[in-house]
Amino acid sequence: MEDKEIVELYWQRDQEAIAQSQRKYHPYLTKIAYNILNDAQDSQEVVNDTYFKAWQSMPPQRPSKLSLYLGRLTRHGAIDVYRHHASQKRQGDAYSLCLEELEECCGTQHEPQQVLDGQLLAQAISQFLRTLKPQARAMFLGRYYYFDSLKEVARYCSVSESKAKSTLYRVRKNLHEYLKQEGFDL
Amino acid sequence: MSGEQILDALERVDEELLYEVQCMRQRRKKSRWPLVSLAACLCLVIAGIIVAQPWKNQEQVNGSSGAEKPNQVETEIENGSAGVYVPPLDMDVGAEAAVEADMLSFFIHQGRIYVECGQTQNGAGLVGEKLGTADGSIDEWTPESGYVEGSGTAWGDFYTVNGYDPTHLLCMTREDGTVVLYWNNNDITVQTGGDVLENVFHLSGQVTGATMQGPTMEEGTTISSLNDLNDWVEKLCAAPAQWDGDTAPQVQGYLYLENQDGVTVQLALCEGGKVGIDGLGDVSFQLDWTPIAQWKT
Repeated sequence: MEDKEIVELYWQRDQEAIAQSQRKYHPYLTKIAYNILNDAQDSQEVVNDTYFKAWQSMPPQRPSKLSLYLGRLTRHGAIDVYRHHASQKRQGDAYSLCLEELEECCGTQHEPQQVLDGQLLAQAISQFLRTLKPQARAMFLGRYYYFDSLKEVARYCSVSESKAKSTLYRVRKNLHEYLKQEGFDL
Repeated sequence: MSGEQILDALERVDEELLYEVQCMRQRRKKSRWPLVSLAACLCLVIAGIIVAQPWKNQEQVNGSSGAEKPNQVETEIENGSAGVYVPPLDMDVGAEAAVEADMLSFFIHQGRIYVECGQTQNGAGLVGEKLGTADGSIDEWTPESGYVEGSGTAWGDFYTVNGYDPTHLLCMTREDGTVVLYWNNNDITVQTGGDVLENVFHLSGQVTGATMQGPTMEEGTTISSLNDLNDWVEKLCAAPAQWDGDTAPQVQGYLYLENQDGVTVQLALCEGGKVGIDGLGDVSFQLDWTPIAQWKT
């Protein structure tokens, strides 16, 4: 079933919408959640919660790309769960590794919300990403949006792991400079 | 600023950038597939299934590599009867279709790929003997060597379906009791509608419930004249399979047939009096479906 038809089912409050979403996107969403949580049961719960959130949010939402919409809900939910479990001090998972890498370039201090507006930051990052070549952009978003491993990133970007690692290092450095220029306090 | 704030901000990054990356993650997989062997070829079939029509799948006769004839469909003579043969497709497909290919739920058992084809809420009686466990290990990055027995995008224990041939149909269960059916729809030759409706799903003369959605009928319209409908299904079982090729007919409605076991099959009702079966790709059957609208409640 096409995305548009599934979204229409959500709007019609037809529970078949959830069944069709599961059928089409369950493995994809599970991969996103599992990349972050590294736990099958937690991932399953997050993905199930994604369908519930989708049901609650459509309407009024009418996403043009359902995969991205559900993926974003899943990513958000998985990060929330991860942070709830932070006290367990999980080490060496994809989320922790990505966080460490990013904090090399942006520090570790939390800014008050009014100072660091998330929307402005997102716009700045989008602008920065547009300055990159598609391959570098794919590496960055693959690593830090989808939490793919370096090995996976290298594979779908057709480069060696060392090349991916060095490219990501340069991108992070450049992001640091870009955000400074844009007035963000790093 | 913290790394967490960056990670949070990425959630709001422009959708088109995310989509670009999503497609790149998929395309890289495609480029590996033409190199392959049995397992990856079967994956090509699955990708092709989605590419062709979301509501229906393709058929493939042999389990060996068919990559030498991409995008070409032939009629094969087997045991003296014609059947539709759809070899593995090449992967010159749109990025969005490739993304969808990864989202198909399937697993491998005894060298066959079983693809999810339906669910039933009241199917506890269908669940038979446990045959194995799918590990859910296949994703878009899985190398050829990863397509092994018990692997798949689906995970969990899988079982025979009571009363059904396990070479055609297996099932999994969910915590809420839903039974998910998986059809080995990529290793069959389709000669008539009965090859699927009777041999796989036991629907010939056994339809106990049906709903329809059509040009003038809302989804869920009940078909009450089951005798007439069963006669029509018998004719569909006798109808020879034909390949629609690159000119797939436009779908004008859907018919959902249920048998006494709760197994449901979705038919696509197409222009020109053609009928497709969900899970059967660009294969259709010539049979006038317009009388069905007269058999509603």
